Amino acid sequence: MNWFRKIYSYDYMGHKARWFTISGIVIGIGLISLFVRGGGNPLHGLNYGLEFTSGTRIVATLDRPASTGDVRAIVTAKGYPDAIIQQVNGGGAGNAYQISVKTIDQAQQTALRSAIDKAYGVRDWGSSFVGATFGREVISSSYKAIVIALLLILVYVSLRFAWKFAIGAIVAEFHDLLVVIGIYSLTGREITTGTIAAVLTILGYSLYDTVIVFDRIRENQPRMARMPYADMVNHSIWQTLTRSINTTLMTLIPVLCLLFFGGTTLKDFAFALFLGVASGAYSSIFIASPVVTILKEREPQYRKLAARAASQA
Amino acid sequence: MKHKQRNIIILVVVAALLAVSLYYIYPPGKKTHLGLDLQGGLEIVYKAALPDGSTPKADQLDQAIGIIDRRVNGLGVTESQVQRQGADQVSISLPGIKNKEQAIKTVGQTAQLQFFNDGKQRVAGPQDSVAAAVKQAKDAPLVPVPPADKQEFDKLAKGETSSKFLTVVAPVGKYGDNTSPLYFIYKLPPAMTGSAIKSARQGYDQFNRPNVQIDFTGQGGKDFGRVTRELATTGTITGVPQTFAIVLDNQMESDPQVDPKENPDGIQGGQAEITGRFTLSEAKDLALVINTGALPVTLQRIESQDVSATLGKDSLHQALIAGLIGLGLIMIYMLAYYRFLGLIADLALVIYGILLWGLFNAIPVTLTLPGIAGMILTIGVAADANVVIFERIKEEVRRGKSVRSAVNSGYARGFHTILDANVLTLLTAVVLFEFATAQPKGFAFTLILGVLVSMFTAVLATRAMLGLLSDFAFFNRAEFMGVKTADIHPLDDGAAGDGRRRRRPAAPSSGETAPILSADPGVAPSDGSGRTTPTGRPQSRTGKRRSSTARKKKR
Repeated sequence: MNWFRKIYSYDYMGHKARWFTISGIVIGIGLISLFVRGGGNPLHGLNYGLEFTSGTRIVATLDRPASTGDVRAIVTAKGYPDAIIQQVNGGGAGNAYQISVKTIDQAQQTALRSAIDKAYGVRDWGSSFVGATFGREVISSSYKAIVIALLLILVYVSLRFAWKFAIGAIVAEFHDLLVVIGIYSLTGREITTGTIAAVLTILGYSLYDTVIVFDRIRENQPRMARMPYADMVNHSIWQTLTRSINTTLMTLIPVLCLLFFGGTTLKDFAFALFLGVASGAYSSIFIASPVVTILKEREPQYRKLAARAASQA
Repeated sequence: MKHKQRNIIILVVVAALLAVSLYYIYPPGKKTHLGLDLQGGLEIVYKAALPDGSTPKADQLDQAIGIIDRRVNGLGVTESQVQRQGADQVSISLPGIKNKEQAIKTVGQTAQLQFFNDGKQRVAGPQDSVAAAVKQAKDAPLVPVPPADKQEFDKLAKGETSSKFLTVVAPVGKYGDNTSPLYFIYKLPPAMTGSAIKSARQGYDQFNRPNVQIDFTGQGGKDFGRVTRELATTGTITGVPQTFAIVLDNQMESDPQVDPKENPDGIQGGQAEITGRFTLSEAKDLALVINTGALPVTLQRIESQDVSATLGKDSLHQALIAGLIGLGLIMIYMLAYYRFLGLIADLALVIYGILLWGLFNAIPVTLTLPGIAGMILTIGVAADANVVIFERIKEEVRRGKSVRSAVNSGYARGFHTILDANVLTLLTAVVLFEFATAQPKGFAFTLILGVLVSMFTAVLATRAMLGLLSDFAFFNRAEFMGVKTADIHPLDDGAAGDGRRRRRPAAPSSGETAPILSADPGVAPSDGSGRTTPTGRPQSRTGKRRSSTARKKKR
């Protein structure tokens, strides 16, 4: 457990370049994936779900065992060779399939259902349909929401702390966003409206740890006024590390429960939350605080303190 | 004792709220409104547009929603909901519906009810085919047609729509006693549209024959009076009773005549009856068509979700299990890590759960799957608040403060952090609520409620409990706060920094951390050693502290 004790004395500010590099590499890989998968347009590098494209999605639970190939054969025979068939755990039976096709009407759906029913017995049938206009609206309103949320955060943190802290918080937010988006692109996981909701939640919630550290920095600033800024930030991080870890754990526990025990819909949602909460905890220490330190150390008083400390070392 | 009074009042309020919540919860499962995704059913979202494609005005959309509501009620689904969504969307939810195909058909038909003055607007018909009707319209129109508009007929012949004329088909039995479909061409715009109608119902005439009775809106009644006066006047002059066509989605539903003898001045007064050789069901059908057809907008289905009851039940089950396990693990962790404080936090979490559930039932909020996810997440947020405060309390105790004053300053100082952090969560939740579509909206709403309620239970309620307890002498023990006596280092803030001001605690390998930190008001290393044994074994903890000091000395 030596390393565990070390995190309470680790020089976070002194090693910021190392952690910036690591984050940069992670984000860089994500961006490359976005560009490669999107064929040059990073916005296309994500696997947008039904809500963003358009079409009909059916979840059918079958009575008799069937393989993905069996289901595909029937769906193809019914005239939908482009359909995407995936096995899902729906209906608790473990023999459930999700069929994604282009938009089909109710009568076509009924025909498809009876064909599958004849072969494997349909125990349960659910469907959802999304038109193209809806998807476009969802995308545009999601972007708007993210931009507005970031602006509000910028304003609030500026008012409650100072603009330099707000910059640190926003840089950390971008870091979290890019990490989550990058991992979604790399893994090819589907983006749903739930993912967007999770991402927005992360924007707000991932600042929990950041606020804890910032609060302590603000408190320590006058109290440790003669200490180089970087050292003071290190102390603030050490002092608040336990609560940062515990608050992150307290949130990760329910999120992981959703990820492991929740149904298909909740799993998607929880995955994005998990990435965001983890990245948010990381970025509060390794991104937000160093950025504030860099900005603060440009102020003459802290520059002097840092210089003096350096000459004495 | 002022504090004591306040704390007692808070606890009484908490108890009262708990009682109210339990009243709203009991019997569980009965009073909670479950969303479609949890109980199964059909949800459809339509985009409404005016016939020319533009966005409808608010009152037009409201009118359409009223009409759809009537249609939906006709389906006999309990708890059905028709809601406006954004500027031009209508969402319809039909929980537990069986016949989904029929529902989609009934609700979603883009029915446009139109009235045409046969004498002035019928260009051609009745004919046996569209082609014959087009031919008649071109060669010998029944009413004058501007030459410029004649090319529009070609569109009709190809089955395309035209902005000047409308092809109308009368199915068997709708035009006199026609035995085969008949085709007509009418001049647009119609004399009246369905928006003129307030309601229609099946009734009986004085001979006890089924008829259809129509109530018009104020303006609709005037329009209808004007149209029928024209018809009556022409009828009187020509001696032939004039007719008008009731057309629903290009289909003639009825072609009643206005009797010039009975109504020489048209039909005034905002009411009308259509009598004829209706059977009871025919009259009912026509009333329904007129009622439901009076939609001022066209509807385009942009989203629908059809969830079976089994799948819904499974989702609910899985979500509840996930939530309970999450809650259980958090409670165990809090108890193990914060000991007595953890017990208080756990109590607050249970109170939180009951209050939130009660609030949901009381409002009432329709609980959806994303909503449950939001609730589960807020359990973590509620616990977070306690973590922040308890760490503060531990810090204060380690600095040698009495439990009582540590509790006070712990809450006072921790509250700012919690407030800032929660405001940021709330801000984004509100943005999400404003911008999101149906599903994430439910999530955002629970998140907002959850954060607010958690501020109450995790901060106010626990403070009152701890405040009351700390008045007792037995409670003034550091162990209760999860702090070892060995970790207590009374010192004053002024002297705190002196020893290490000039030193730069750069690399961890320098090993100078222990003395620095134990001198620091935050006392981080004891934090650290505390963390290594969340289940709390004092021996191992002191052991580790010693070993670390020893290592330092070697260097």
